[in-house]
This record gives sequence, structure tokens and C-alpha cells, in this order.
Amino acid sequence: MLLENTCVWRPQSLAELRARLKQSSTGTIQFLAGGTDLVPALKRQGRVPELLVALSQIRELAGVKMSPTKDRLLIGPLTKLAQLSREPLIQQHFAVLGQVAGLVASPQIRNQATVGGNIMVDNRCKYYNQSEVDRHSHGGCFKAGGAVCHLIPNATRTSAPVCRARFVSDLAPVLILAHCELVIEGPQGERRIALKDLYHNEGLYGARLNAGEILTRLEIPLPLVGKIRYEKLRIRQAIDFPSLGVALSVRDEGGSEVLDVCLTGVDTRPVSLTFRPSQFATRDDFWQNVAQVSKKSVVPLKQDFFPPQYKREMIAVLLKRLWEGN
Amino acid sequence: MSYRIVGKKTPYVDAVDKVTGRAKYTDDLRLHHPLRVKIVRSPYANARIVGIDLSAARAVEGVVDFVVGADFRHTFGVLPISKDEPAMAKERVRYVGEPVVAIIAESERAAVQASRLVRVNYEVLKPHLDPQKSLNESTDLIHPELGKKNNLHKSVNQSFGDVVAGLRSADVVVEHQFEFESVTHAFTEPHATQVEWEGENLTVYSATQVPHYLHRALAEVLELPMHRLRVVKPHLGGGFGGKSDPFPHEMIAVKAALKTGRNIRLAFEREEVFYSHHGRHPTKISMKLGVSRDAGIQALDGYMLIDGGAYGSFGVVTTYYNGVLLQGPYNVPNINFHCDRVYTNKPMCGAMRGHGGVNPRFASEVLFDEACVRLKIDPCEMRLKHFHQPNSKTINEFRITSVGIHHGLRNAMAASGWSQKYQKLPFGKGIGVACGFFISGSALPIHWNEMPQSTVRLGIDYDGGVSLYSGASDIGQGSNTMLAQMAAEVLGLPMTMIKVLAADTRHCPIDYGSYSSRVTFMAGNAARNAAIRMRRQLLEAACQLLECEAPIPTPPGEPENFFRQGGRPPDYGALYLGANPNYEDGYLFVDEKIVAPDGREVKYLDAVRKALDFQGALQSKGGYVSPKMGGSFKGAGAGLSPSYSYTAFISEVTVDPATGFVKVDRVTCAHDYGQALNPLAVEGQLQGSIHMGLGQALMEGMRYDDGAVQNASLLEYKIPSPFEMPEVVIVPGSGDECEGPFGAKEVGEGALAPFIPSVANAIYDAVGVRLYSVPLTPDKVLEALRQHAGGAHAP
Amino acid sequence: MDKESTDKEMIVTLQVNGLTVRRFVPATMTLVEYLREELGLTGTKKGCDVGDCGCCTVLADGDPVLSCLALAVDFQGREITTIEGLAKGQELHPVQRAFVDEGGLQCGYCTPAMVLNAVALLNHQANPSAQEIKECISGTICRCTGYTKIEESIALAADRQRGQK
Repeated sequence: MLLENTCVWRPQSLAELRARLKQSSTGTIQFLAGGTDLVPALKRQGRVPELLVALSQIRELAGVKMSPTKDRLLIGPLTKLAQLSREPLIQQHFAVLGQVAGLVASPQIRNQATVGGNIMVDNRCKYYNQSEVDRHSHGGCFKAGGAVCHLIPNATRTSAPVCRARFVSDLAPVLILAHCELVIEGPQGERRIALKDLYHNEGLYGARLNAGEILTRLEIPLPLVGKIRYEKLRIRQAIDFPSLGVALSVRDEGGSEVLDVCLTGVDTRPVSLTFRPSQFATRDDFWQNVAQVSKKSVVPLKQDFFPPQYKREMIAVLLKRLWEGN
Repeated sequence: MSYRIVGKKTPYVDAVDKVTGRAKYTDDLRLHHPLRVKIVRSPYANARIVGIDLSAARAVEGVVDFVVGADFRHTFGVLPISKDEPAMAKERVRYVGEPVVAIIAESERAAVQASRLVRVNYEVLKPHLDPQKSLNESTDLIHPELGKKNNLHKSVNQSFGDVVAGLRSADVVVEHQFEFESVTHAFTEPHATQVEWEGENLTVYSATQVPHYLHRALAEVLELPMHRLRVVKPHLGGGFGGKSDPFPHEMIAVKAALKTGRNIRLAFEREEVFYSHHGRHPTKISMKLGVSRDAGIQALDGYMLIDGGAYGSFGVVTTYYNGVLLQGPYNVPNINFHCDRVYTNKPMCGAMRGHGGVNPRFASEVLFDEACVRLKIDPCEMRLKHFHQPNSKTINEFRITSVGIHHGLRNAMAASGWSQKYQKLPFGKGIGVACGFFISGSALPIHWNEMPQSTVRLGIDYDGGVSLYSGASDIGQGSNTMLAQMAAEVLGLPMTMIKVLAADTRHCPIDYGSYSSRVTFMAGNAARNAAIRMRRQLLEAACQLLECEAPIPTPPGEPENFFRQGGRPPDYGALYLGANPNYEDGYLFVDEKIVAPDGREVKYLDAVRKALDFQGALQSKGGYVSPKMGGSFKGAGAGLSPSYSYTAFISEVTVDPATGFVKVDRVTCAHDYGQALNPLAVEGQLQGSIHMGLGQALMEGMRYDDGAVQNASLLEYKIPSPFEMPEVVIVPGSGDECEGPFGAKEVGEGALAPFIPSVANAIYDAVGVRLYSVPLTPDKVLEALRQHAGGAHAP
Repeated sequence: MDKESTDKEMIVTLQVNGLTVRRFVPATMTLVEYLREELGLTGTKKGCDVGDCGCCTVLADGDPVLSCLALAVDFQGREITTIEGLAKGQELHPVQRAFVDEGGLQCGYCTPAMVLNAVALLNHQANPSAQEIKECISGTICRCTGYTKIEESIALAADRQRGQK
């Protein structure tokens, strides 16, 4: 599968990139980090932006540091997932993040894929992540530039397309529970947003930055508020994207436990939920509530290996495992 | 007799080339200035082609020409009785992915660009996707040109004994419906073909398991004499049955060469491999088993509906194999089966490892287990009592020679700790057994003829190196290594002196290729026979040098009995030396020497050079011909094999009752492969069969949406990773097959089938639920557990 | 603007198996195409071209990466090792030797990737656990062996490198 040809530019520093982004740009630009998500997508859609900016040389965007005030972990978005797993600072302050990074896809992909790429991974759907023949067969869906959604008939909202391609990042739910903030540079200067606010509730562009913007840093306030754990559901213990990922952080609120939960793989974005088990008379009541809330809060569709209903049910199962298995 | 090479762990002859990256697979070859070909495929499952507009595509710089359906007059098919497939769609397309237009261009980029500009105008028709509905369809036919009255491709109904009486006499009758998704070979090397001009002739390099069938099909479809075509199989990245048919893209590549006069290079994208498919049929089975406490299986009654997809492929054989492979490994006195293969608008199904026998095996082994539970009999002990006996005949007149499964299953029971575990493990842990039966090659050829099924030629020249020519394809199973072992053992030479030249129709004698587990048995025997004839020539030369009389060969005599035809002295007076002839004559060929009974020695090379005197070239050939056997009823030939393999599996699983996940922890395998020629290869085949079976058992399945394969990638089609693989314990379970080369028989396929029901039976032991729909995915396990619990608590 | 950003064809200079190679190629040419089509290093296989099968694995500065997911130009300045770069003359790399001896291959199509995965593992872990061995090959699909003999080959290579066999 040939990648369509286009221009490729490898800026050597952030300054060089900044300068280029300030120029009034003609044509489309796309950033290429690890490429593990973007390259197959470009090959399959048969079209490319006018300029691919390969970021690999911008060394200042890679690596993990402690803030000078020692109260924030600073993660460069170009840090490779494999590097994240090995990083002593991560092991010391946020070990689960390293472990989760070590479970993404495959060893080779972890040597290529970056943290930034993982949290901004394109939403996936079986009708979109497909060969040309298949897309042609069903007619292009919204995400593929067409005019239908094959999962939901009449999927428009006030004439705007509604795409339910699912969010699949493993790192995002864990980072969200750690109150991760993003530092983004753009033509108007620097802005900060909480990671959880990066995502939109639609599958077309789950986590797109504004034109000319670049993610320069992830910041995680230390110490972490609660103990964070993560478990994911997938049929193979390698290669596969999470069919469902459940991140849990348990914190204390006036002597009773509060469960902050963040889900991936089952909706168009990471879904945050909070549970207070102490409000329920029995554990059974509590788990019933979890099941009800899960049912209300996420809309899994027939998009990957497992049936939607099964994925939904597994939310409570994995949550129970994370919470009670501590 | 002790052997120096046979039976010893022998590295594959091509291993060094493979670990260094030197091994050239088809798309690794670099021909002179080839044109590239890109195939435009149908996006519709069922449609009429109204028109094709190539004008925009033709305008792309670098586009040279096109191939379309109108370029071909003949349809083809691997079976002469079922040639229903066009090289390219003409007036209609029958599955998503069917080739419609091929672009020939100077570069891949130009070909791809042009492919996006081809405009095909289709009249889209309602596709037939459900095999049951397609079977009932009588007006809108997928193949109106065949003159049939519905979409039924092939129907087989065979009945032996009295099933009704058998069921009546049984202590318990169990029955159920079963359902199986389609699985595909998913070899790692995508299909590829290159075509090279040489004078007026064309050499076709192709990733094929059967160069001979491809050679025939190309000659027919392209209307060329066979001698102008040469088919060569370079290194091959896996087949498992999926490269055993001739394929449209191979016809397209040769047509492109003919149209342009240029060399051609064509390689598939991964998704095209899935569209091409030819894998295991989606299957629905309804089966009934009558079992008696003492007499075992009294009757088996089964109906199988198999979804063939758009074309025939090997389907007629599959239809038979769905039934006939149920004739073992147990004695079944009354058996009735009916199998229908139906055309649908999906990629065609064909032969895949364990061809036709895998899904019915699941049904029968699960039902047998259920019967044993109801009869409160240990399912291993029950099986042990009712296996085939050596030198016996089945009710449909299969000739059963060696049977090693009895002690095989006993070994597996001991090694797995069966009796301490069965029905005694805690909830969530389980152990299960299942057994199987498979052919060592088909006794009858696809194309009716009197040729030996395998022929091997040997040549020795002045340097003493032995050239071994065979039409068999090494597809990764190690057949070239096996062939070299045959010659090295008989001639007393190191493996390095045997140079195998295989799978090249110009240089190699005909062989029916690598499928139906035939190569070791048939080509192995042929190679051994060729080596024995060569040995005789060298022995005569050595005796001249020793100035003594060469021993007079003992004439072979009649076979001991119908069941024991092998092991006789070679018949040097006949073309065919016999099956596994015993060539002992007092002389030893060992360490590049020929040692006379009196201890005098002649160096191998001296004997070679003496033998070359007055001849100039030393040659020999050997063949293999299956003995005549089988009944005279219609379809009696299906499943006939000179020898059968047997398998017993004991699997141990952990089932997570909260998620439904099944982990196969350990599997103990006893496979009756006769004698192991190369333990490395034998173990490799068994481990590989288990892995492929594990995929089908737990996760693999072609998922269709409106006839389009939705998981046409190695991300979404789930091949198990190393983490899912169980610990594999292989225990001895072999008889000595007197007709197999050095006692060997089948090992490549038979072990896959029974592994799957052994997992299902272990799940039952673990959590008390039976699953009848394969793959046994977590959601199905969970649903079954829920229904089971609901049933238990129901008032 | 940097010259690179205006040309769709460019000179890509790579260090491959210890040699500097230079080719004028389309800017978006993937590393696997560069190796196979430009350099003739066909030991690097193309099994899926979208990062699912692992057959195109090469080492970049010693780490296994998928060459079908990477642009060749993005590997300028890094040391690439392909399967052709392992043996020293006629002497196989110990991992290659172990795969031969232990039968850690059948069709051979995933073999270059498996060998390179193992070489990378043993370079930083001389005494790998069974789990680490599984992990190191878990991104490469083998359809023939069930991985068993591949794992045994890697364990044998590790033992031999530590001088135990």
C-alpha cells in the first residue's frame, strides 16, 4: 500500500517549528509523531496533507522531567511509550502510567508511538478503519468523508454529522484521573487545558487542536490524589486496542471512599464517572447502581470484537476487580 | 534397524537462508524491468456489470494496458468436476473483492492511481448471504449458467448400517445444533506472482502449494501449451490449504505478460488475502449420537450445511470430508450423514488445515462427551474401548492399517493427571478430552490418471552431490528437509550432500503438491524409492571395485495381507518398488562409505565414479502408488487414504466466570504419526496445529457485513499471540506404519480438529456449560453461564 | 522555508547495517519500501503494511520498530539493522544459530522479525524470563509454529550467550 507522495519537513527544533507555524500557511499541514496511527490511516484513505511535519527531531519535546518546584511531573509529548515505561521518574511517582504504556499494542509500536500520539489517537470504527474496497462497498461514512453512518441510521444533529467512532487511548483515562494538564502553544501564545477537556463528544476529530497549535507538555500534579489502577479488556493480550479500559482512582472523602472512574474504548471520548459506595445500603445495591450508571453513561456500538452489551457489562466487572482486588 | 538421520532432530535444510534473510519469497525476486499489476475489485456482493470506463485510468502516465474478464474464454477450478470460476468477472460479480479490472503500469504508483480512476457501472442485486435461504432460492441463481435448479453446489448423502436401529439400541441419545464461523489461513506471506519471459516461454513464479495444478489451469485458461509455461514456487510463507487452488491473480499476471510482452510483478495487499479467502466453510451442523454403555457409539446421524461462497474451489471434496472423516477414530457401526454445500455471495471457501473434518469433529466429540457424562462413564475410558483396531476395515470400507492411539491416550491421561483431575477440579478449572482421525494423503487423484501420485528423480554427477528433484512444495512444513533425509539415510550421506530442487515444473517430475497431508507419505516414499534404486547402482559399482558379485535382490513376494503391503524387499524389476520397501542386503551405506559384509569398504565417491563409467550420468527415479482399496458404492473414493493418523488431546482450562474468558493452560497431545522422521518438524507441526486450533476455538472468525469481510486485517482477525498459547506437552502415541516411509504418516493437519472440542469439553468440566457455537468467545461463555444459572434457579 | 518542505522527492541518507546509503526517493517513502525496493534488502518482509503483523521489524539504534509505519526520511541519523546485518561473514549471529538448531521457524516469513526481536531483547537482558521472551515476540504474528519453538530458540540463544550450553 503506497503512501501518496507529498512534502515532508523535519524541523530540528521547537523554535524552527514555531517560526514556520507563524507564517501564514497555505494548504494543509499534518504533524507526524510516531506514525503508528497516522501512517496506516494515510495509506488507507489514499490522500495526504500538503505538508507532513515530522516531529521526531524536536528533542525538547521528548523526555520526562520534574518541575523545578518538584510538584509536577512534566512529560514531553514526543516521549515514546517504551521510554515512558522505563523512565525512573515515572516509576517513582506514577508507576501505573508506565505499566499502562507497557501494555499498549506491541513492543515495536511502543518503540515508535508517542505519549502525545496516544492521547490524541484518532477514534476508531470498523467502518472507517477499513480498506478502500470495504469503504466503497458500504459507501463512505461521515468520518471517511461520506454522508452516512453505518452504525446509526439518520445520524445527524441539526444537519451536522454525528460520528460514533470510539476512543481507544489507554493512557488518557489514567492521565485524566491524575488531573493531567496540557500545555499547548499556538499563534495566540500558550494555553493550558485539563486533559479531560481536550475531548469532544463526537468521533470525527476526537481530540483535535486548533490550526497552528502544538502540544508541548503534559503536566501531572504530584503527589497523585488517589491510588490509580487500570485494567483493560481485549481478546489478545498483545497487539489489540482496548475493547474497554477502566481506570480507577480511590480517594477519601470525609472518611468514606470515593471512586473516580474513567473509561476508554466504549464511547467517542473518555468517560468520567464518580461513585460513592457509602451511599448504598449494601454492596449489591452499589453494584446495581454501577451497572445502571454504566448503561446510561456510555454508548458502545458494534465496532470491535466484543458485542456492545458485553462491553457494557464488563465495566462493573473490571471496576469491581480493580477496587476489591487492592 | 537403527538410522543415522531418520528420527534425529534435523535442522531444516533452508533454515540458514531463512534466518539470514537470503531466502527469496515470490515478491522478493527482482526480474528485469517488470510492469506492476493492481487489481480493481468488486465492492458489491452481487451485481451485474453494466459497463467499464477505463478512459480516466488510461490517461494516467505510466499505464500500459488492462486485463478484463473479456480477455478470458475459459472458467477454471481446482477440481475438474467443478470449474465454475472466471479469472475475472465478466457480466456479473459474485462476491465483494472479486477481480473486475487489472491495471498494468510502469510503476506501482501509477497502477494504484489508475485503479482509483476506473469507473465500473454496476447494477446492484440483492445478495444471497444466508446459506439456508440461498439453498431454498429457486429463481434468482448465483450461477444460472450451471443449469441447476437452486444454489446448491454439491450434496452428499451416505448411509451405512441402520441408523434408526442403532439409535434405538443406544442407552442414551444426545443431539444438538452447532454453528461455526468461517476461519481463514492467514499465512504471513500475502499471495504474490511474478512472470518472466524467456524466449517464447513464460516462467511463472508464484506462492502456490501445488505448482502442477497451477500449471494445468494456466495452460487451459490462457490457451497455451504446457511446455511454454514453467511454474516455480520460490520460498513460501505459509499455505495451510490457502495456496492450493489456482487463483485468478495468477491468470491475470500471465495474461498481462502476454498482452504486454513484459515481465510482470503482482503482489497482494493483506486485505486482498482476506477477499481471496478459500478458508474453512461457515457451517451449521445438526447431529445426533446414540451411545451405549458397553458398545460405545451405536449410531451417528448428521446434517451439515456448509456455506461455500461464490465458487466451487475444493468444495466437492469438503462436502464429502464433512462426513467421511467421522468414520474414525472410533468404530461407528451405523452412520448416516448428509452434507449440502451452498453457493452464496461471499468469498469462496475451500481447503484449510484439517479440510472438512474440523467442524463435524467438534460436534461429534462434544456430543460424545455429553453422552459419557450422562452415562456416568469416564470419557477417556469410553474412548479407549472403541478406537479402531489395527488391520481392520471401517463400515464404509476404509482400510485401517496402524493405530497407535490406544497407548497414546493412556500416555496423555498419565501425563496430564487425568484421573486425579477429571470432575475433581474446583469451579473454574476444567479438563477435557477429544480425539481425531485424518488421512495421510488421498488414495485417489483429482485428475483421473494412472500416474504415480508422487515421483522423485535423483541425479549424481562427478562431484558426488545428490540432486533430488521433486514436485512437492515446501510450504514451511519442512518437506524439502524430509526429502533430503530420505536420500541421505538410504545413501549413507550427510544432509549437506543432498541438494533438493523442488516445485519447479520444468525440472521436477509431477507431484500433486502439498495438501491433504500427503507429502511425507507419498513424496517421502517416492524419494526413498528413488534413493534405493540409486543405492542399487552404487552397490553394483562398489562390488565391481571389490571384485565380488553384487548380492542378488530378493524378489518381493506377495503382500502379507491386504492391510500389510509395505516392508517387503524392493522390486527392482518393476517401475514401482512398493511402499516403504526393506532394502537391507548385508551392505551398509554409511559415512560416505559402502561397507561390505566382510568389512571391506569402498568410498562413496569411488563408487560414484565407477558407476559413471560408460554412463556419464547417474540417475534414478522412484514413485509412490497407493494400493487399490475401498468400496464400490458412489463416493467410495472420498476419504480413502493409504494410512490414517489418530490424535488424542487432553486440555486443561481456566474459565473466568465473571468475564467468560477462557485460558487454555496446558494441553497434552498424543498424535499417531507413525515414526517421527524429524522430531523438530513433528513437534513444530503439532504446536502449530494447536495454535491454529486455539484461534478457531476462542477468537478467529471472518465477520461479514452485507457480504463484505469486515475484519480483513491482522489486527481485527484475531490470531492468538504468544500469551494465549498453552503449555504444550507432547507424549508418544505412535504405531509403526509399515507402508509409510521409514514408518511415518500424517502429522500436519489431523491434530487441529480434536483440539477445539477438547477445549469445549474442558470448559464444561470447569463451569458446567456446553457451547455449541464456535468460536467460544467470552460473551458466549458468559451468556451460557447465565442461562445455566437461570435454569438451575428456575422453580 | 526549509528546502525539504517544498520538494516531494528528496535525498534520504540512512545508516543501514553499518553502511551509509543515499537514495533519491519520494519523500513519503516508508522505510520498508526503501529497504526492499531501493536497497534490495528483501529479508525485511511486508506482511500487512499497516503495522499489524510485525514481519517488517528492523532495529533502529537497537530497538525493534515496524518499518512499514515509518517514513525512511524520519530515520536519518539513526542506525538501522536489518536481518542481513546480523551475521559476521559466514558466522551466524548466536540468535540465528539457535533458531536453526532448535527449529524456531517453519515458513520463515516472520523469522527475520523474530530473530531481530530476540537480538534486541538479549542485548539488554542476558537472562530473560519466559514472560520476557513472550513479550519480546508478542508484536509479531507467526502462523506456523505456535511460537513454542521460537521461544525455545531464544532461550537457547540466551543460554549459549551466557556460556551455559
